[in-house]
Amino acid sequence: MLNGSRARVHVAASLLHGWRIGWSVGGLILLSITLAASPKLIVLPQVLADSEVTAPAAVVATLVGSLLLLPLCVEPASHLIATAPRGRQIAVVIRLAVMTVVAYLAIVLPAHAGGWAPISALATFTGEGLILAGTVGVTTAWTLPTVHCLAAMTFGADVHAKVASWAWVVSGSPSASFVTVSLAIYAIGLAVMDRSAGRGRNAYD
Amino acid sequence: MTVAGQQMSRSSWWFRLGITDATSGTPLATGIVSFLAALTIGSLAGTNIMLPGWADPFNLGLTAVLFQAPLAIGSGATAAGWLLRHDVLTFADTTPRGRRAALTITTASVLLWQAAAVAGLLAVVLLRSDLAGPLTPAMLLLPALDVALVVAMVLVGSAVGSHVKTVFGAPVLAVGVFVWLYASAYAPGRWKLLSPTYSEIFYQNYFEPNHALVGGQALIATAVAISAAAVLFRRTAYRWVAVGVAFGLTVAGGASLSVASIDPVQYRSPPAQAACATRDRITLCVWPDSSDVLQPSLDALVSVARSARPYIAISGSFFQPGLQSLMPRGTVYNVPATRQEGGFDFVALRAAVDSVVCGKGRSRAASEFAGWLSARSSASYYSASSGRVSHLPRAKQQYRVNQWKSQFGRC
Repeated sequence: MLNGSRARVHVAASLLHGWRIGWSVGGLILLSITLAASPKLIVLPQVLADSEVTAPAAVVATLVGSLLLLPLCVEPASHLIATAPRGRQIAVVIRLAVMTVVAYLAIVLPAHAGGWAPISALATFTGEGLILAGTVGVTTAWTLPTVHCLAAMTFGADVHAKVASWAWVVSGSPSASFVTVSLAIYAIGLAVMDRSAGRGRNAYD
Repeated sequence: MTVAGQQMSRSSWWFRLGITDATSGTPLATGIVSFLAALTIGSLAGTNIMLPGWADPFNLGLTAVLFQAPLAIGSGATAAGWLLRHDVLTFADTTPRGRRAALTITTASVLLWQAAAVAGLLAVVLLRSDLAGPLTPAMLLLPALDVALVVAMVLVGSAVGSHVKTVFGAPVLAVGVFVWLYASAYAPGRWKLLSPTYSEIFYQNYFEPNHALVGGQALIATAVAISAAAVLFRRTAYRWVAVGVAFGLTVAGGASLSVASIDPVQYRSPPAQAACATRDRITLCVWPDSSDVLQPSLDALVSVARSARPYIAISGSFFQPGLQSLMPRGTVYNVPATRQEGGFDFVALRAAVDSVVCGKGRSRAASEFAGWLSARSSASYYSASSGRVSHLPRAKQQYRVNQWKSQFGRC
């Protein structure tokens, strides 16, 4: 039996343990270096717009950031997690939340980007991935954020270069309602993952 | 797949593909996302800016590979990677037909969904488009390239996925393919030959896709697909045949691209006879497909010519682009891209100016002449300041027009 303080140490250690954290952190470092060397604004390949549409590089990079977070959903021994104390079960969600903040900082600091746009995009893409990871499995969780981001980048603007509402994720200045929707998607994603971990479901499948 | 040495019959293979493999697991999950995304984008994409005909909808479908190709390669890698990570391939190796059978049916399931996504998007876009325009064999190269690219992406994804265990494989491939499509679309010079999407193009009815460019890219995409199939289905008798065919297609595609211009469009073969009309010593000829705009275009040209009288006579032959071989002498008349009110007046003014300035359209005199003619006609495109001459007394106007004419010379 572990006493309370040792259990907390074990929970903290489990937040940082594992090769998947290593892959995610390594990928985020590479992403930071790339962003530091990239232009602050990039031209989106909007197919239908008759004039140039741009988006902050940090906003587009949030797709890569969210994809790097998805492997953290994997629990190799999910049946043990299901029978573990609540503190250990929720460690999966805490680890995801902490790493989301790390991913946000890794994106916005080298890109000198601020505001709600990167937060909204990262929350949306990560939330969409988590919802899919918790329900279908992490193997296919990359599809929803990827198709949302790429479709918004290519077909999200009309002929007058106005960004459609469904493509708010590539908008440089999302409205408060879209930021709220993004944060709600993220919260739902975390809740779905928590429920999935509590049931002992192996997100790897 | 074989069970205890029994070969699965062809009909049961298709049954398993349609009922079991394509409707479960990773092919289903990635397939549904791809298919629904395709239908959604096909429904949301603004088709009202496209010109009449089949080329623009086909081109929109091809441009959609910007998000469909990354999904296709990722889906192939996801499905094959799942088989690898869960040791299904190791198990299949113990059967007479080996892992090839397991990979075949999984890859075919992914292909089925991705083909449905491509067909679904194209069908929705075609249904929402104005197809009352030309359809030439060269235009069919656009959907052919579309299909070849998606098939190649699925097969490459499966080939990589059957060798790479990491769960990062699929998203890395998807992002990588998008980076390629994005970077090549903005590449300078002949590097643009690497880009299979032409998003900035709208096909006037006298244009069709560049045969050598689009055909060459379709051949190379097919070669990539066959090469990936050879990697995927190694240890079979057909492997070296596939490698040979892929090599031949690569050489043919490369030869085609080496002679191709980077311009994605070219003129269609001219018709045997153009649609022509004459009035007030002005003859206008257009493509038979554009006969609906012949009369309003001629009306606009005659109106501009009348507004120039008595200072200068505007007459002669005008023809739509692509009819040069039928009308060696004359001035190009560009039919307006949209049939909006005033559109004919503007293009008629442009053509009338071009017929007078004799290739000196960028000179200051040409600009002043265009402003003067614009102010006198109903085509108020040019700024009012450049049309001040039209308010001068008649003698002074004639003097300025003669000055301009002397600078233009005779065509």
